[in-house]
Amino acid sequence: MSIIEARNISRSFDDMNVLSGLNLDVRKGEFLAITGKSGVGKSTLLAILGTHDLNHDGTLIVADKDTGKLSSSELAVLRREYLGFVFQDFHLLPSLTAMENVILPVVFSGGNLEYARNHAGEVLEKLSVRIDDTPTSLLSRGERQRVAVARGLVNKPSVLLADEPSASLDEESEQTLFDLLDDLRKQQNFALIAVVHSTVILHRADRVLELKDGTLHETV
Amino acid sequence: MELFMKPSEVKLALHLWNRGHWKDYIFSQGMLFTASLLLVFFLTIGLGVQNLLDRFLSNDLPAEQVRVTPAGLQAGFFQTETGGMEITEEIKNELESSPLVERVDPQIYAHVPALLRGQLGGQPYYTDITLEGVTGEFLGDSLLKDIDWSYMLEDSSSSFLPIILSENLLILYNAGFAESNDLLGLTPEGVLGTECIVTLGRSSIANLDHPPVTVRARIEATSRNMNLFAIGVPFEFVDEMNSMFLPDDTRRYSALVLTAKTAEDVPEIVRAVEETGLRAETRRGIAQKAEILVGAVTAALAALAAAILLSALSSAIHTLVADLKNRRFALGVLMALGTPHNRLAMIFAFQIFFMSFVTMVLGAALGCIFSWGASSALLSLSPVLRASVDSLAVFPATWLATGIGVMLATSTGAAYIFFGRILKTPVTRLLRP
Repeated sequence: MSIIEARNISRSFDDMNVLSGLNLDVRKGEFLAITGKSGVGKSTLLAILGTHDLNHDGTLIVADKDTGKLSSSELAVLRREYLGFVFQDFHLLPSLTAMENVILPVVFSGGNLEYARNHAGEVLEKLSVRIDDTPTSLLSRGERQRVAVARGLVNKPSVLLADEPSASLDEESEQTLFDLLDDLRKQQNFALIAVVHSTVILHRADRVLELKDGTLHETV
Repeated sequence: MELFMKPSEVKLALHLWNRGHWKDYIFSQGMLFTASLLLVFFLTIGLGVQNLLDRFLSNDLPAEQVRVTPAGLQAGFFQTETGGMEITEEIKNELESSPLVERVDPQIYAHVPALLRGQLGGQPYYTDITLEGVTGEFLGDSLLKDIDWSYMLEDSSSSFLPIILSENLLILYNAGFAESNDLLGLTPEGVLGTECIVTLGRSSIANLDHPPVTVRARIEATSRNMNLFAIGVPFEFVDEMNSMFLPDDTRRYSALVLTAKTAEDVPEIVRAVEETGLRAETRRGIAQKAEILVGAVTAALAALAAAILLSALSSAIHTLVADLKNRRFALGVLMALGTPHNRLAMIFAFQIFFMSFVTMVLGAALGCIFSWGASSALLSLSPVLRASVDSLAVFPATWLATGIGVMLATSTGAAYIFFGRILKTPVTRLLRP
């Protein structure tokens, strides 16, 4: 059963077509790796799948909901309940601590704060992120990346969209991160859609799709 | 998901949202605080000053009356300007014969020196005075309902000379004489019934050859329409004294109060009077002069308040908007993570509107305290002010609420419009560095 169905997705910036009639089905629990050359539109694709970029043609269905027909508040619910996002540049609020950044979506959305704190604590601990009063602006790039991953997972999403989640990590940390993501994925059964370049990580994926000429091509 | 958040959730959300931005936030709130403080201060003091001027400049001259006086200022036997037109019997008769004039009430100074002696607060006192004779018709039935306003010298053994005092004279007394001599201040009610001795033909600076005349007098009423420099007594008594002390002098009036048949005739009467070289005052004329003066003072205060208010408000708006501008990215993150617009709007409504409201109310409260303090300080420094008004600050609740409402709407409205634009911006654009 597909958690995401993208049909004939096209996106252009000015006169440049980035995505042209792209189709994609993502099943629950699978690890889908997206690869491709720099500038081909991988981040754009993730922004569309994460419902952050709504200016596209075609149909996107997430959790059986046609995103093109949802209001802004319905989209917000969809993002909060079904989608987790790890941004390429982390997008953490620098003055907040790791824990505060992770629970931020819950604080502003009125979820169960106590549960979110406990769950965030567990995830941060598994990712070896220190839980103290240090603002994230003072954390290393690797630590910030792990905080961003923890934030993406705190709401127990059905899909985790990760834009190069291991870009700042050394090989060992990268393996640790994906080990953890694999564990959590098996526990929570979320689909992981990640932009990945590391060959080692690509081998762990259930499917590897290369974005080329505006569409996705399955690779072996 | 509920639209409304619990107070603890709002508190935590604001705590996290403002982390690292408290300085900007406090600065913007400080601007609003200052703006409301200044607005309230200048508004309350401005209205107080307006009130004070109104108090000084108001008059009770009826709409259909015209007060005719010589062009120069004359007080008793003092004339500040010589060669001016005097009000003679002929002029009075001429005005009386006008078809537009219903009645003429003459007023006349006693052209003899006079001295008043009495007891004030148990202390003996005396002062030179000027007597002005006014008619009972001029004073009107309401003022004279309990007073017998007829008095001649032959009545001196059986009755008191009735006196009507100018209320403004009381103010001057309270502000000057009483202050410098440590005497109690006098209220219009307090002086009623005060008895004294009036001697004509004698004063501390002039004596006439004619033997002096001494009568018992009593203050029977106060009025805002009386001459500031003179004490009002029955017209026939002054006329009698002038004839007795200065038999060769022709009768000269200090003023004529003309009552027109209708208020519409007043402009025509004024024109006729001014053509004779005399001065004509009407309620409208006095009110217009007062209005111009009060208006000028009010406009100056309002301009000052507006200038300060505008600069404070523009700073507050600029700071609020700049703060939001700097945090477009953070808003984008929140939206990307699934925070609904209505939640964000609610949190910002609390932060921008409610907190600004609280800030401005506090500023307004301090403004009230400042204006009250300034009023108290000014009144303690100036006996004239103290004698005239209870307070130099006026606190009109409606005006203050309107002022704060306008400021709140202006400052937070501008911030909210900008905030609304951010909410409509695509998330990807907000997240763009």
